[in-house]
Amino acid sequence: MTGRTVLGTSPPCGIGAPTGAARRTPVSWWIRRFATDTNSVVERQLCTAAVYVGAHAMFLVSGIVVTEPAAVLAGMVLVAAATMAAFVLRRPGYPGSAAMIVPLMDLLAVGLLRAGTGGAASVFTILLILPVISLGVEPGRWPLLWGGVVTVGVILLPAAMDPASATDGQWVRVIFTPLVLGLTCLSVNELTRRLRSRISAVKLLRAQQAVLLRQAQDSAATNAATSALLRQGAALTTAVIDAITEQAIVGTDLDGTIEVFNPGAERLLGVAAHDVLGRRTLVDFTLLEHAGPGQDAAAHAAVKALIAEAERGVPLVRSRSQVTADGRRRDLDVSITARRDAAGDVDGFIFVATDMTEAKKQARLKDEFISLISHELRTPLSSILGYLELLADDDDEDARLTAEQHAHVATIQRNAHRLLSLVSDLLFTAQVESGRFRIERRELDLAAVVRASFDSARPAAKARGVRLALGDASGPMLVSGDALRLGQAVDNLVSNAVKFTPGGGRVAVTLGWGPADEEAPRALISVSDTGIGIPADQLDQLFGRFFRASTATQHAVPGVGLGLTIARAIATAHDGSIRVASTVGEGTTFTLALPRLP
Amino acid sequence: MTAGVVIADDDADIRALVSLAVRRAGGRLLAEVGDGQAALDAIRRGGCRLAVLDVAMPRMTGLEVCAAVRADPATAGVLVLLVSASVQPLAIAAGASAGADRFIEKPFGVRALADEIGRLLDPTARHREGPA
Repeated sequence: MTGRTVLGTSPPCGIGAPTGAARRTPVSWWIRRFATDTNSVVERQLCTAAVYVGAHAMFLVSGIVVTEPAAVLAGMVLVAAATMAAFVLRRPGYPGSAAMIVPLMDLLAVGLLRAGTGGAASVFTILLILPVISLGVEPGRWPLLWGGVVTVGVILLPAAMDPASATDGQWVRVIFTPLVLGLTCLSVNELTRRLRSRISAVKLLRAQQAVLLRQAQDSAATNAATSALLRQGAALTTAVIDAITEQAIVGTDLDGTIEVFNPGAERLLGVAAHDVLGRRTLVDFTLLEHAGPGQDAAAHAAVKALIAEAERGVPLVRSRSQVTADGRRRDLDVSITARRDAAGDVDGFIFVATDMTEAKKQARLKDEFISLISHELRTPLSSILGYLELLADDDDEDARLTAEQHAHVATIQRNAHRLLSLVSDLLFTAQVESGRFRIERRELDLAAVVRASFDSARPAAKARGVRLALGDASGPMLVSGDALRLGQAVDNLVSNAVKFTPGGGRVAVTLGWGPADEEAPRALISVSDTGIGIPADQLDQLFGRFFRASTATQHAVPGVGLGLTIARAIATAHDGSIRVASTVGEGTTFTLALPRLP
Repeated sequence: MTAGVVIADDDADIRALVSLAVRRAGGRLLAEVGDGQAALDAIRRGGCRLAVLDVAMPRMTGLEVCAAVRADPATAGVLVLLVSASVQPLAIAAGASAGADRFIEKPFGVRALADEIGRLLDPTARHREGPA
């Protein structure tokens, strides 16, 4: 079956494949079909049957007579049956080996024709060659065996029908005719086997070629897609870099030659990219900073130092002052990152510069403003408080004030101190905002700080009728911090608690260490009150500048909303934190946590 | 003999308060001026034991006067008390680096200032422990 399929099937492509033009011309189609697809049992049978029928024309020749008409007729019938069998057996479902029945039937038909036309003397013996060749074309050796047996039978058939005709010469024919035909069949069988094998090899090669072609096409398509993605990625990167106009991005190779120069760099450094790319190095941009004798060496050294730091692998940010091409001096923050190739080796550097000139100018203005406010507000307050002190001084008997005047002076003093406190708080928060708030750490006893704040709050608590309780620590609690600032934070928490607690209420201050199982035990200062409380939805805004809880404004509690801002800033500067828990109408608890002294 | 004191502040009211504190501390007022250059001139005229200088003043700041006083061998021994309205740590650090003996923030009480001046002028209590 396999052999038939191979020979009877057109190649997958190329030779023998009918093209569109061939289909339109039936003659050429048939020529092509017979030239390339001749192993169909039907076609072989049609040829054999045609020759077999045509051979009957020999009866018209004198000397050729039909001795057994019944045998001739039976042979004709057998050929017709073989032809029908050929049509039936080519249908799917029949084994390939079944096709050899057709030439075997033809052999018998030739035997009958031979027997009916003179037996051993028949001229039609030569017709045996056609079914023998047809058998040889069939794959495998079984057709040879069966062909040999049937051929011997066919040769013996006349002797079987007429034993008297079996002469010595006939026995020679019985031996040699099957032998010659068998060798012929064997040769055809071997030739077709080899041909079949080569065609199989060609088909296999073609299949492999087709697979390779598909793989090549797939690979080409993948490469094209990858290239497109790469182009797309490069275009995106370029677009992003070009869109950054407020920062300068400069890429260099290992020698510092500039390879990337975005519009931000053009704007910031005052040079067009086409004048820089591949032409200038980082040193060129550093020369202006080192004007004077030996500027080349100084610039090279400066660039080398920058690159050496970046090569260590840690991205760096350096503040530097840069003179631009048009002579302007800009303050830049420059981040330097080493660029690495696929093997991980440094093959260049990326410099991203942010213009900090305006930001630094703003910071300077802010500092100047703070200094100005400090001076202009605190100086008149100095005069007010100083002269009030003199006024209230009882040393001079001639100028001694009456009790009522003393009360008035005390009121002025209290308000002057409030004003001073407000100014100080504003300045403090301004310092925090500008990032210039610093603390001076020393080892200190937190218990002493809390006790001092507690004592400071006692007069106010007493005046409001608020009970003040201190749960003192059993011993000193050593932390690292700024005693003045921590005192300020605790003052704010305690004074707030007193301020927001109605008369008859209670404020409790406790001090202790956090849970011992914590990785880093912390000192905890807790200030709890039975005051008006804070709505839950306002707790997260509580530490914002100038924020006042709705309960504070409803109860007309004085204040500007800076105390907690300051307390949190101080806690943060000490690597600590402040938590708050509150219920409206029940009270509030603030807990200040500070790291223990290592 | 009482110690001579030079006072410099661009605010006349503050100068009056400081001069009162100086008198209460037992000091003798040599000069009371409104700018840094005048203060330096007064110190260089001699007889000055203590200079009470405002930091923010016209012509020369208190820090510049202090540095000039320390740089001149003739005046290097003069005690300097800086008075400033600035609460910034950097200002205090600048006063220390300029060589001031004490640093007092505004506002101050007359009594507290007098005590501070008294401690500086009293030879028995004098000990150069650095800026406050």
